[in-house]
Amino acid sequence: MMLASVFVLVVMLVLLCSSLWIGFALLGTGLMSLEWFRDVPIQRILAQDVWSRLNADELVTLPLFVLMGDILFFSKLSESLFRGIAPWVQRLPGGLLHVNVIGCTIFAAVSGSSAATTATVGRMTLRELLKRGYDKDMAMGSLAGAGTIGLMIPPSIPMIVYGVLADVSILDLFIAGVVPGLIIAAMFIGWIICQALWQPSVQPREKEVYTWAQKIESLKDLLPVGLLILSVIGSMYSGLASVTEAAAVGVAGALGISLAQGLMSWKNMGRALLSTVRTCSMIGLILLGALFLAKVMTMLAIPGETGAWVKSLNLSPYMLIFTLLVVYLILGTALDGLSAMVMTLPVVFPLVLASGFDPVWFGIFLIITIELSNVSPPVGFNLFIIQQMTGESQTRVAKSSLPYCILMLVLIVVMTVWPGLITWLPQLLKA
Amino acid sequence: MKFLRQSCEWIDRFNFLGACVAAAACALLSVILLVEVLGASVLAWSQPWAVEYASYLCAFVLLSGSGYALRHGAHIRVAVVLAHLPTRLARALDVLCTLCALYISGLLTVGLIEQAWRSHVRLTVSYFVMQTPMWIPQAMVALGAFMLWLALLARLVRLIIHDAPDLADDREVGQGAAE
Repeated sequence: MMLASVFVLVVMLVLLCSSLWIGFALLGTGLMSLEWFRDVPIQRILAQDVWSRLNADELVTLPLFVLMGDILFFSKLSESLFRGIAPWVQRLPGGLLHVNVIGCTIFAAVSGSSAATTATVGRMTLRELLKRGYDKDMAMGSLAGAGTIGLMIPPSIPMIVYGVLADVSILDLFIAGVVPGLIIAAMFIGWIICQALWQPSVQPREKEVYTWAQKIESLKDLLPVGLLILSVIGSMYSGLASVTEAAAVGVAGALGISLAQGLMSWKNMGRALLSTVRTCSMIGLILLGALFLAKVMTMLAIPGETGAWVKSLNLSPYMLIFTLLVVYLILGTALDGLSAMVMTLPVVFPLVLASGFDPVWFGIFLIITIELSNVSPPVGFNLFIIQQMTGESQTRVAKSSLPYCILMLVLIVVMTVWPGLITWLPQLLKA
Repeated sequence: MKFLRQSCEWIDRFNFLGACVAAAACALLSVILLVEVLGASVLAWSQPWAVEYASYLCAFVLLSGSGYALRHGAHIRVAVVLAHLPTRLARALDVLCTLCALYISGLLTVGLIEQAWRSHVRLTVSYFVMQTPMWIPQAMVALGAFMLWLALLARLVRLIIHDAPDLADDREVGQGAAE
């Protein structure tokens, strides 16, 4: 059966490299493997698998959270976040640069996408920071890095995809992402403070002075997003609503905010819905491919076999994770992170389980690798967004975000050495 | 040539219609679940059909806009090789990829149609309270797969007659990004 493993790997690589769409490449690999190694009605198996996968209850959260993000795109949240956070961070070393990190962290709690987080927060902060004389590289780098927090703090689209693929509780993943998300935000803030102390020129000398009354007044701007976070995350964590129901509440809340701000017209609603359909169709196709391939691999007994093979190599768990990290970093230079995760998971997941890693922990590990790929040239989506906003070269944007990539790598090391950092909160809430 | 172009445009319109219906399904999905949350938590009035129909609508949303997404270049591919090949070779490879995808989506479409037909003949109903005849949602999903097949066919025709196979993605930066 070693032949089957090699066959799957070679066919998948050939189809992917041939520029076939990833979803079709995965479906094609599964179909060819079945045709070659099993005498079964492939068409029937394919249809049954696609139907049962598309009907999975946990998938319902996907269009809802995507729609929530698309609706929020037509709101004034970026302005509100800036006005609400700026008075509180003005006196910190690094000043308003912290708005990028804190704004992204807050927006991450209502958005499942790193790109949407970067675009929404950045369209206000970049302009304001540059106008006030902040260092351009610091402004771009902190935004590129902080935008990735959108994937870590729930809701998170890649977490939903991972949960469906690996059959892991999406709620557990959502809970597990909070601590590392806050840690990475704290690390980014720490880095900005160190940089501002070491190199004071990164921020203007003159600082706006806010009275306490103005500071308290500014909190009013954070109220809508605060209520949305409370209703979505609060209802999930408290057990008042399931993840799916919380997503529906989130859509209603996002719509409420956009309507209250007078920015939601029928036209914008139509645009948001069509955008959601496009995104979901894209994710849907690659999900179907990956799930079908995973099923075929199980039918061919590949996971058990590769697990035994990895065990025979006597790789330490750390070595395996290090190898995977290198593989994902390399893949991240050619592929977007979500695709890299989906196409490798059927092969990688059994190996990781065989090495004794917790599936929730591994999910968070993968999310950080996706975050890294979002700020890795040439296909890092956050880089592309900031490049579009500033007109700077991708190399300059990538260089400016390098310290934040290193901090993410530090987080991976920390969570590998102390896996409890990720798993304790889900276990605590379960207990 | 004119007939081919017109046929492709009709396929585009059909797929746009599919995407609009999928968008409406997405909105309906949100409304159904919101009614369920409010009904169950405030009025202790749970809808027995909410979970079942939400999953059918979700299946429809995930597949029925696929042809429209393809036309707008939203489906992801590793285009490194394609980008570095001379134009003629790149077009030939693109034709080959589209043919391959056409075959796979054809298999999927036929498989899903057969499945819906079997459910119809065997009078299969869902295991939920509503006991929905399964052929109805299965036929909806089969229709979604057929629309994708049609979009691939139009793409193949456009490649052969040297028309642009994909439209530019007209979404604003960051909107609708999955990552």
